[in-house]
Amino acid sequence: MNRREALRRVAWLMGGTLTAGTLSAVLYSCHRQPEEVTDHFTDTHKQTLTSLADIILPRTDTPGALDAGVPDFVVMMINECYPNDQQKKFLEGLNAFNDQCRQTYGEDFASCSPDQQKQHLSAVEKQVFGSTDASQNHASDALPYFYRTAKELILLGYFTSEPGATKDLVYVPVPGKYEGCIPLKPGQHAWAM
Amino acid sequence: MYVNTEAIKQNTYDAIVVGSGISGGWAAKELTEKGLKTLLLERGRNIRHVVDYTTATKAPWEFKHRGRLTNEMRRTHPVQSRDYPYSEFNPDFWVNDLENPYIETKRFDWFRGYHVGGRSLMWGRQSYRWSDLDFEANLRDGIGVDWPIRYKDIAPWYDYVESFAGISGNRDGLPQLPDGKFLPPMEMNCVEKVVAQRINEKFKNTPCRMIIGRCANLTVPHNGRSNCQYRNLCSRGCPYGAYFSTQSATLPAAMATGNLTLRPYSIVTEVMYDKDKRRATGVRVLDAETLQTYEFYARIIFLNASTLGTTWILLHSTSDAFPNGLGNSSGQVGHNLMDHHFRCGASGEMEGFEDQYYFGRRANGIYIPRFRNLGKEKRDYIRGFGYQGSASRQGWSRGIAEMGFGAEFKEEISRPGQWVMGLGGFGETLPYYENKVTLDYSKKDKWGLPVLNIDCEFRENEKKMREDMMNDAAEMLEAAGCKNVKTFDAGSWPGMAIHEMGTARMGRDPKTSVLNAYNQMHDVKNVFITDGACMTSSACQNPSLTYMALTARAADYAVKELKKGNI
Repeated sequence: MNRREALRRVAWLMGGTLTAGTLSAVLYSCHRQPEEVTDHFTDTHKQTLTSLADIILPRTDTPGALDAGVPDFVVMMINECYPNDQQKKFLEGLNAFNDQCRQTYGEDFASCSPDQQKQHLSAVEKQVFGSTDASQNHASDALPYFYRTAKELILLGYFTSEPGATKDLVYVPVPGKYEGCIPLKPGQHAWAM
Repeated sequence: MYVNTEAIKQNTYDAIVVGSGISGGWAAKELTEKGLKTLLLERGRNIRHVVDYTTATKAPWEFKHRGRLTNEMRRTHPVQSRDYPYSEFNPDFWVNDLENPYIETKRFDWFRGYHVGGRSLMWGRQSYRWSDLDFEANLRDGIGVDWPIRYKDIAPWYDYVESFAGISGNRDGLPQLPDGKFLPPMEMNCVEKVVAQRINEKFKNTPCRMIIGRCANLTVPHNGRSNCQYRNLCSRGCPYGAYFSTQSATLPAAMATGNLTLRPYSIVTEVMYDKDKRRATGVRVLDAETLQTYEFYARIIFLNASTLGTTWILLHSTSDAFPNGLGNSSGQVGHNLMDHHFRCGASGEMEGFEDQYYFGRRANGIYIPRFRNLGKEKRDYIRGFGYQGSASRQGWSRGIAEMGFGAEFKEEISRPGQWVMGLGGFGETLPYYENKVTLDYSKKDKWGLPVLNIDCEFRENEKKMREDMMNDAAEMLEAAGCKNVKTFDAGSWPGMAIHEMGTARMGRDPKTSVLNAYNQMHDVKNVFITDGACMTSSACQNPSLTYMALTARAADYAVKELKKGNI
């Protein structure tokens, strides 16, 4: 390779990488300017989700949903990742969840006693996961949709959070090897991811 | 005049390679190592090895949406969003569909990455040889055209590319899936071992065998690259260079020769043709950033822009000599589009291994090579399918659809759950002339260029095959002792398997095919096509290893022909 050619190669390469950086910076700012995200949740909604997350995954000898910021995560995910119709359905279901609670216990879910909350949750779980007599529910399918989605996001938010993945599950970022068959130790928790 | 000649000289190379993915990277490596000054053109941005893998070492909680798609991502990537490969874990590796539109006369999921390395960065890495079962299939069945090569022609080139790329696998001695030059195999886990043993025993009078997957992940250090660290985060780019990609393997080799010039942001709009010399003279490039056009010249041109990218270039390279696209005297360019059909199989639970677990995240699964329509068997469809799969213990996500909450529930789902074993088929698709792409000037992309119109569908043979794909999987799992075996068919659309191929096929007759036995255009002797466009049939194995072997073989032939003065 002669000198002239060497220079030419370098020029191309530099040109490539330099323009790559500058252009992607421009593109990045165009494409990734934060979209208008509306927060669809009222304080009551958020309080309900906080109580729900806490009761589903409480702090024990390992951290709980609240330690992992799960309620904010659920709100953020619904606001940013779910299309309008599903956001609407989720909120409708959340309202129904609270309405049912008020009818039975005279209080919002967040204001109920822990025992009342557990009873309400058991009733809702029976409605959602239980037998097929769901037709007699006064709520439409919004309540099951809400509850299944909320439970999914609460579990996702917790087990992929730093406290959930590292203090409850066992997070090994770089295993370095694969062993296909090893004994499970008594009480051993699952690998994260 | 002086300036003009000087400019031409400046832009003249021995060879031009269009596209820097799996096959383009190989073409660049082979041509530069044989001493050719080579220009490697890539339409997208540069991605530097390791330093530009921006998400590769992030922990799960460092992704705001934990990998899931946002509404905004779905808006800008409506096609890429259709399946799992596009996610928050590697969003910059996939094209913006709004800037790169195409027309779907019928649904076709076109997953693309426009950057140096192409889909070699995100590929599934499963690497299987074809056999004469595949190369003889079209002739035997009277389908499409006969492959102009047989296994013996490509076998040494499989050896060659495997030795460089690093393919881990076991020598299983199966005639329908020839063994290769393997690095040590990965290990099956407890349940896979038992399932394999039982399947291989119960079906011993059939060709059905379960083996460990063969993949382009290094199980030992190889050619200066580290071995796999079992993170299973390959599709973000590997900081260890432990799987084969352009960046980890072929590009550094090509660079080391001193013969390579890499030019990102170079959209090839046309191959220029000299009808008197009956040779391509070079390519015309639109700079994706500056929008300036350039001409580059070379004695040999390799088109490796991906199956549909290469087809677009051919169709867009019209001239008096080739009004229907470069090298398209056969009229076959754009036709015979294939992909594999998949997302169909079965899964079941395995009891009795509750005290067993595994360590590490193996970036590979098991494989059951094709076993249908071998020998004398005749199903109500032709060809066949293979299964990929794995066994694992369920994680916390099993708690989503279960009743339960509170401390006990949390403790229960924090522990490894039931063992589950799944098998998913990948089926061969026949080359139908009617499955085609055309250029459509009614729509333009971000650069004002016409787009592809894709008209492709699976037909009767594929539909019939899917019944076996589903039921055979269930039968095998049951024979292996799995409980609660459930079948699934999640629906498969062309393109979704990201194995699109066939639109500039190889063949023996210039009247019915585009390329000869060396991937050389019948009509234009100095143009070679070695990406998926060249494929004459689809077999059911993952195709990339075959693209690598065909590329190395074609480059060898091209340089010999060049030296003989034939091109």
